[in-house]
Amino acid sequence: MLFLKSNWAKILSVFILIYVIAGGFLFEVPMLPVVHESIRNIYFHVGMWFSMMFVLALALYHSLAYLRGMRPEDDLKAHVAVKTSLVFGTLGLIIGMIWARATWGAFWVNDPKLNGAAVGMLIYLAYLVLRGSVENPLMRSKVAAVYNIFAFVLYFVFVMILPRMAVASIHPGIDGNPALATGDLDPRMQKVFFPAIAGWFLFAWWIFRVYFKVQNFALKIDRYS
Amino acid sequence: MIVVVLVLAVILLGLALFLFYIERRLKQSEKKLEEFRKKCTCIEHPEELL
Repeated sequence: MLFLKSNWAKILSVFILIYVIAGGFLFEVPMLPVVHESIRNIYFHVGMWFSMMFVLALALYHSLAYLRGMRPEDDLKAHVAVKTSLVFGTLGLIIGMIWARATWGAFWVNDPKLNGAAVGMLIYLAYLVLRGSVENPLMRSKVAAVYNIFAFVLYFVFVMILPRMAVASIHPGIDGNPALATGDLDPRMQKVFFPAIAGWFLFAWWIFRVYFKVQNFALKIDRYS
Repeated sequence: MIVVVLVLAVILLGLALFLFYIERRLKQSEKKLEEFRKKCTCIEHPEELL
């Protein structure tokens, strides 16, 4: 845990991501039908979504911690984590839409995975609206923490479970985890993909930590002024 | 392709440097806030901390 808070983890994330950017664009990739060179997008698109899920797990952890200990710091961390995850989710959506245009001919198609991802984003946008609508700070924190628990579960239902139960989906992954299963992803891509996931996780963690420190500092100023 | 790599790498480095800068400024501001807290119980000009 100390390593994650140290500057070494931050520098490591930058180096890993520079390797991912260089390897992602310059290393060889398999020439698959339909996707061709655009398969390189997997290092960024999947990385963004996995980072979003990781930061949402942090949000869930802090919401549960808040309900247990009622520490305002945990509520702030959960709030900050949700906002950070929405940034990564938005980037994942944009990158995905660009990829969809290149491979399927449209920025958006009526697909269970895509619609599920959009609904997942809306669930967390609703979390922000909910927080804004409750005036009492204590009530706001409690309601938001409880909502976050359900939001997390529903997010995975919409993004991971329902698309796999769909009859047909154009989006890869309904038969399992094509990127994660070592047998499915080409070895030439694995040497960039797995570091990409680690790099994006570390970077997302860093952004979350900085955002939390900024918000925490602003709260401290309000308290003393 | 190499141009794309260079542009993205520069953007990433810029973002990382910005994050380091923010953290450094926060550390300095928190030190000042602690000093203020020890000296007095209120802050009349919060912008001085930044």
